[in-house]
Amino acid sequence: MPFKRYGNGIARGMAITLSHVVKKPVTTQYPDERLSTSKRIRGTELGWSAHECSACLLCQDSCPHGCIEIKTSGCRSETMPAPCSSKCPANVDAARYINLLSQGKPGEAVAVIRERIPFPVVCAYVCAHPCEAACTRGHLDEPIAIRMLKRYAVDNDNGVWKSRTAPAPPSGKKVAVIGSGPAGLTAAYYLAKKGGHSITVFDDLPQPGGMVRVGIPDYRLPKHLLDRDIDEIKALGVVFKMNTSIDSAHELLKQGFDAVFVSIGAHQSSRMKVPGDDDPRVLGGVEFLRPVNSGQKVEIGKRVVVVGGGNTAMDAARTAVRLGAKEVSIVYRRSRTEMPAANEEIEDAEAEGVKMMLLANPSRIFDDNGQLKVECLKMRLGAPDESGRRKPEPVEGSEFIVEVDNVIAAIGQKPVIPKAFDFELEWGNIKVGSDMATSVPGIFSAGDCATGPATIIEGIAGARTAAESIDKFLGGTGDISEKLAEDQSCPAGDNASVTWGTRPAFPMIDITLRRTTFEGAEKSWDRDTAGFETSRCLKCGQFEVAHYQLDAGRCIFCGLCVESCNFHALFMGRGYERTGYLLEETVLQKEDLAVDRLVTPSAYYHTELEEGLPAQTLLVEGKLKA
Amino acid sequence: MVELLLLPASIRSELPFGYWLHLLIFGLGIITLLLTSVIIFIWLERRLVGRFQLRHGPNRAGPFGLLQSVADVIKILTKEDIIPSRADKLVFWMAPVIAFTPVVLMLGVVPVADGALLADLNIGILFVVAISSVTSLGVFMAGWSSYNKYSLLSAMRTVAQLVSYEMPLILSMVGVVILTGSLSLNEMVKAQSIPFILLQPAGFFIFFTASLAEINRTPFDLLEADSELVAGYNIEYSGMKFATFYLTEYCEAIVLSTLTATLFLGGWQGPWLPPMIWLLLKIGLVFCVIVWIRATLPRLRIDQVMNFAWKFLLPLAILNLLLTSLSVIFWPTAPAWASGLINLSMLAVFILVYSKFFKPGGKTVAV
Amino acid sequence: MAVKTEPLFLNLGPVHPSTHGVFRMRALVDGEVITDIEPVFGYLHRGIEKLAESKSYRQFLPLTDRLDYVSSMNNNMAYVMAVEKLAGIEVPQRAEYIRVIMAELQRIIAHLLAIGSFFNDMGTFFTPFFYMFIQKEKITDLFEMVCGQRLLYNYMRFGGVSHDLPPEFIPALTRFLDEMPAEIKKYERLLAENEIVLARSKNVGVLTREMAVNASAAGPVLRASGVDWDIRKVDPYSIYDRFDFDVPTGANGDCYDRYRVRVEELTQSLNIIRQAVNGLPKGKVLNPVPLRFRPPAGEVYSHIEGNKGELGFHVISDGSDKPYRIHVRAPSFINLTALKNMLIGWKLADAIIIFGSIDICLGEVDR
Repeated sequence: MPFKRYGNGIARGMAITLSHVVKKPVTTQYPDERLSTSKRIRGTELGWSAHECSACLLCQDSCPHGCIEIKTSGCRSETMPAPCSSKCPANVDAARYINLLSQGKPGEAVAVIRERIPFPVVCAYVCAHPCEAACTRGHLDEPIAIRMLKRYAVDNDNGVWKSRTAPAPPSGKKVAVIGSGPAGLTAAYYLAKKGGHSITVFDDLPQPGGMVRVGIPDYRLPKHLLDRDIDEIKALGVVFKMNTSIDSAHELLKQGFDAVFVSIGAHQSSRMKVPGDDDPRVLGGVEFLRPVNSGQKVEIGKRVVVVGGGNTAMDAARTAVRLGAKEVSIVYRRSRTEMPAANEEIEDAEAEGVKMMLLANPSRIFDDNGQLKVECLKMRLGAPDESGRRKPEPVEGSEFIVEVDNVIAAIGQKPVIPKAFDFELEWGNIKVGSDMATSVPGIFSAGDCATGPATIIEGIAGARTAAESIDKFLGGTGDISEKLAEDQSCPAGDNASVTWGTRPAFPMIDITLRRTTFEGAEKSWDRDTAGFETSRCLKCGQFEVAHYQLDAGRCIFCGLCVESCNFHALFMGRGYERTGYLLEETVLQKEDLAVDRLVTPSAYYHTELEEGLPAQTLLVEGKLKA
Repeated sequence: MVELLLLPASIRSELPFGYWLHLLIFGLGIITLLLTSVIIFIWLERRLVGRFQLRHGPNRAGPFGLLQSVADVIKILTKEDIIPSRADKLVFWMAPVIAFTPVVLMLGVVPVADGALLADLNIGILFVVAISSVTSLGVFMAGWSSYNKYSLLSAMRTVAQLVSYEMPLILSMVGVVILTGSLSLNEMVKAQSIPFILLQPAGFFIFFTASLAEINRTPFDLLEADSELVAGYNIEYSGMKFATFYLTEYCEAIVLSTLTATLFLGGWQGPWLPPMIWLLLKIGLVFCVIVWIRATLPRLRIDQVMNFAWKFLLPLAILNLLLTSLSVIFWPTAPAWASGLINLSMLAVFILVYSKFFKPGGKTVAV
Repeated sequence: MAVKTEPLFLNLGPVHPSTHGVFRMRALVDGEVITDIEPVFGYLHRGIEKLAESKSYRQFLPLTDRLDYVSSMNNNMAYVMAVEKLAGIEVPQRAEYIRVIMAELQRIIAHLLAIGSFFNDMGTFFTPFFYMFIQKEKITDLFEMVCGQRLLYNYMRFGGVSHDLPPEFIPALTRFLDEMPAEIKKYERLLAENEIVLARSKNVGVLTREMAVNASAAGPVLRASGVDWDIRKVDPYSIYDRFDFDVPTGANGDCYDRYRVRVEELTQSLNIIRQAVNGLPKGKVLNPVPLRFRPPAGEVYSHIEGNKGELGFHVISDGSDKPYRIHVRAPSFINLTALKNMLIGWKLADAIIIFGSIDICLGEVDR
C-alpha cells in the first residue's frame, strides 16, 4: 500500500469528535437517578444506635485506624440478652453465669443454669453448645468456652441452689412420662416440682437416662455424673418404672393418668441402603454403642470403618478405638468443613488415631471369601444446594476397595414409634404443634421422637415447652420459671478489662489412656484457667455505653466496623453524594458527616436502614475458623 | 456609532476633525470589540470543547455560563502579582506588553465593511506580516526573563517554530496577493466575488495550518505543552501579567481567524446580512474549526513540527505560488472552477506523494 | 565557529502534570534530547508494608485499596488470596465468580485510564480521556452498587466478598457489556490510525523482548514487547482456567504497541466478564472468618495478573493475629526498572509519553 497515511486517520478522528457535538452531554446521574438505581451499602454517613449497641468492642477492634472509642459506665439499665443466651434453645443465661464465675461463685453459676435446665452436669459435659457458635467473641477470634466453664461450675458446685427452691404443693393430677431421656426427665422434673403433679416415668431400658445413658460413651460422660442429675429428679418423688415397655399411650390415659408425655427418642440407626448392608458385620451406630454403654462386653474387629460425619460417628469411632480396634476410619462424603460433628470431637477423634476418609461414600459392601470388603466411590463437591452446603457428586470410575472387619453405619437415627400409639406422623417423627401437643388430646411429645435426632439441649427445650403445656392442660398456670440466683450484678471494671488472649487448651488425660480405657477423656479446668476464660468474655449487652465516639477525621469509611457489628447498632447510609449535591445538606467538614448525625440521623436515614442494610448476610452463624 | 463605523472613510474625513474622529472611533471600536469578543470566544471555546467531549462545559455562572469568563477575569485580576526573585525584572515586565500590542495593531488594517477600516494601507498585508512577528519577541522575552528552565525551553521552541512557519504563511498569502493584484486588505476582500478558498484551496490549507502554528494552537501548541513544559513560557506569570498573555493568545486566535476570513472566505462580503455580521460569522466559523482541531488532535514533537514546516509546507507553498503565478500569466481568463480544481489536485497529488515518505516515530539520538 | 554548550539539568516532577502522581525524574537534557535520567521516588511513601505489621489481617484490607488506587479490586483480590492460601480458607463458588467479574471490570477501568492519560500526555486536549472516563464512570457506578464506594472499594474479604450482588447489578452490567464494544470501536476510530499518534508513538521508546524480560517487567508492558506472559494463563488462579480468552501481544515493544495491547485487553476482559456472568452460580458469597483469626505460622506468595503486571503479596505469619511481614510485589515499581533504558536519547516530549505508556501508579511504586 503506497499511500497509506495521507491524513485519513486524522480525518476519521475529526469526524468522530464532530459527531459528538450533537450528542447529549453525559453527566453523572446525581442525585435522583442515583437514588433510584441502587441502595448504597456503604456510604460516608455513619450512624450508631445506643439502643442496639451491646458495647462488645468488635467495631473498635475492627477499625484499621483505631478511630472508634467506646467508654462504658456501669450496668445497662434495660436488659439486652446476649447472643449466647438468646441462641440457647433452653435460653440458659450463659452471660450471667460467666459473670458469676468471674466473681468466683461456681455455686451461683450452677443455680443460674438450674433456672432453665435440670441437667446441668450432663450439659456441662456433652452439650452441643450452640451458644458458642453465637458467641460474639467467636466473631473476634475464638468463642468463649462456655461449656467448659459450665463444667468448671458443676465440678465446683456447692449446691447453694437447693436452699432457694421448694416443690409446689401436690395438685393430685397424675402424669405418665414414656421414655426417661433428657426430654422425658425434664418434663417430669418441672411437672413434679412446679406443677405438683405426681409423675410416673416408664422406660424399657433398665436404667433411666435414655440416649444420654446408652448413646454417650463413658469417656465423655461418666455414668455417676448422669446419676447426679437424675438423683435430683428422683428426690422430687418421681416414680420410675424401668424395664417396662409401653405399647400404647392411650392405654395409659385409660389407666387413670391425666396426661401422657411421650419422649421415646430415636433409637434406631438408619440403614445405608447400599447392596450388602444386611451383613451381620455391618452394625448401626446406636446399636453398637448401646451394649457398650450398658456395660456389656462387645467384640469388635481390628479394622473398622465408620460411615458418617456426625457426633454419633465420632462416638462410635472413638469407642471402637477403646475396644481395641487397630485401624478405625471415618468415611464421609463431604469435606471436613461440612461435617456436622462438633469441631473438638473431630479433633479428639483424630488425636486418638481415627483416620478420616473424606469425600468418599460406600457404594457396595460384599463378602470376599470371608473377608468383608467395602467398595467406596470418591466424591467431589458440586454446586451449592438450597441449604448452602455444596452437594457431593460421585466421580465416575473412582471406586476403591477397603478391607474391613466391621462397618458401623452412623448416618442418622430415626424413632421407632409403635403402631398402637396411632399418632399423626411427619417425616417419620411424631407430629406436634408449637405447644408440643400431639394429634391426640392429653398426649404431648418432645425430644428426638418429635424432632428427629437432635441435641440434648434441644430435647430439654422442647420438654420445657411441653411441661408448660401439660401444666396448663391439667389446670395449672403453666409457669415453670424459677429464680434461683441473684440478678445480674454489675460487671467489675469496664469493658476495657477484657483479655485479648486466645482460648486456653482443654486439658486431656494421657493419650494412651484415651486409646485404651473409658476414663473421662477431658479434664476440668483449674480456677485460674477458668478465671482467665471468663475474663475473655466481651460481656455484650451488660454495660451502659456512656461514650461512643467516632473520630471522623480519621475515619476512611471502609465499613469494616459496620460489618463486624452483630447487633446492627452501626449503620452506614448513602448520604455522601446527596450531601455533596444539595446545598442545604452540604457538609463542609468531614467530621460533620459522622459526629453530628451520629445520635440523630437525618430524616431519610432510618427508612433506608430498615429496608436494606441489616438484612445483609454478613457474619452469619456457622463454623468459625480460629 | 455603528453607522459611523460603517461609513466610508472618505465621507467621514469630511466631518469636522474627521481624521481624529475616525481614529478615535476605530481605535476604541477595535479594542472594545476585541476585548469583549475575547471573553465571548473563551466562553465559546470552553463550551464547544465541552460538547466535543460530551460534557456541558461551564454552565453555572450566568445564563449558559456566559459569565464564567467574567468571573475568571475578576479572579485573575485580584491575584497576587509575583515576580521571581532572580527574574530579569524589566524584561519580565515588558514581555506581556510587547506580546499584546502587535495583536491589536493587526486589526487596524482589516476591513469590517467596504472601506471601513482604521487605516487602509496600500501595504496592508505586509503590515500584518511585519507586525505579527513581534509577538514572538514578547513570548521569547517572557520565556527568557522568567529564570525558569521550562519557560526557557518553551521560548526556544517558540522562536524555532514561529520563524519556520512564517515562510509558508507569507508564501501562501502571496498567492492571494497575486490573484488580487493589491496588498491592501480592503482590495483583497473586494476582489473575492468568489471566496479565494475555492480558487486557492492549497493556499488556504497552508495558510490555516501555518497560522495554527503561529498562534500556538493544537497540534502545534508546543510552547505551552502542558504535559511536557507545565505551562511553557508563562509559567512564572500570575495576575494581570498572566491575564495579558492569556488575552494575547485569544486575540491572536481571533485576529488570525479574521485574517483567514478576510483573505480566503470573502471577508465582509455576503448576501442579505450586513457586512460586519458576515465577517463576525466567518471569524466564528474559523474559530470553531480551530477549537475542533484542538479537541481532536494530539501534539506533534518539535522535530516533527520543524520537518512539517520545512519539508512539507514550504515546498507546497512554493509550488502553489509557482502554479498560481503561471496560471495568472498564461491563462488569466481561466474559469474559477478550473483554477480551483487545478489547485486542489495539486494539493492532493502533493499530499499523496508526501504520504509515501511518512515514517512513524523517530530515532534516538546517540548519547 | 564552535559554540560552547552545556547540558541543562531539568527537574521533572514531583509536581508536574504528567508524572502521574509525585514521581520525579532528574533529567539531563541537551537541547531537547535527554542524555541522562535519574528516577527519584518515595514522595508518596506511606509505609503501608510496615503498617501491616501492626494491624490484624483484616484491618490491613482497606489499606490495600490505597496501593494502586485505580485498581483497588485487584489489590484486594491479591491480598485476600494470599491470606486465604496461608490460612486455608475456602471461598464459595459464587464469590469466586463475583471476584473475577470485579477484577476484570477493574482492569477495564485501569486500562481506560491508562490509555486516556497516555493520550493526554501526547497532547490531546482531554477528549479521549473524557470519552473513556464516561465508560469508567459507568463501571464505577456498578462498583458502587455492590460495595457503596466509588474509588476505594474494600469489597473482598477472606473467604469471599463482603456483600452479594444487588438484584439490579446483572442487568446493569449486561447493559454495559452490550454498549462497550461500540465504544471501543469509537476509541479506535478516534485514535488508532491517527497519523500524529503514529508519528509520536510508533517506534518510540522501544523496549526489546530481552530488555523487558531482564527488567522483570510484567503486564501490558511485557506483552507489548512480544512476550506471551499472563499470570491468568501461565498460573491460573481463582477460576480463570474456566474462561476462554486470548493474551494479546505486541511486536515491537514501542509505545504504540503498549497502547494497542491495552485496547485489545479491554475486549478480552469483556469476554471474560460475559462468560463469568453466564456461569454465575447461586449460593452464599462469604465463608465468615473471625476478625482476629490466626493463620498458622508460615509464609506464602500469591500473585495475580494485576492491571499493570504481576501483583503479588508475600505474607509471612508467625501464628499470631497480625502478619509478621507483608511485602507487595508492585508491578508499577518493577516496570519502572526499564525506564532509563527506554528514555535515553529521546526528546523531552517522547520521555513524557514513554513514561505515560508504562502506566504507573505512584501509590503502588512508593507504597
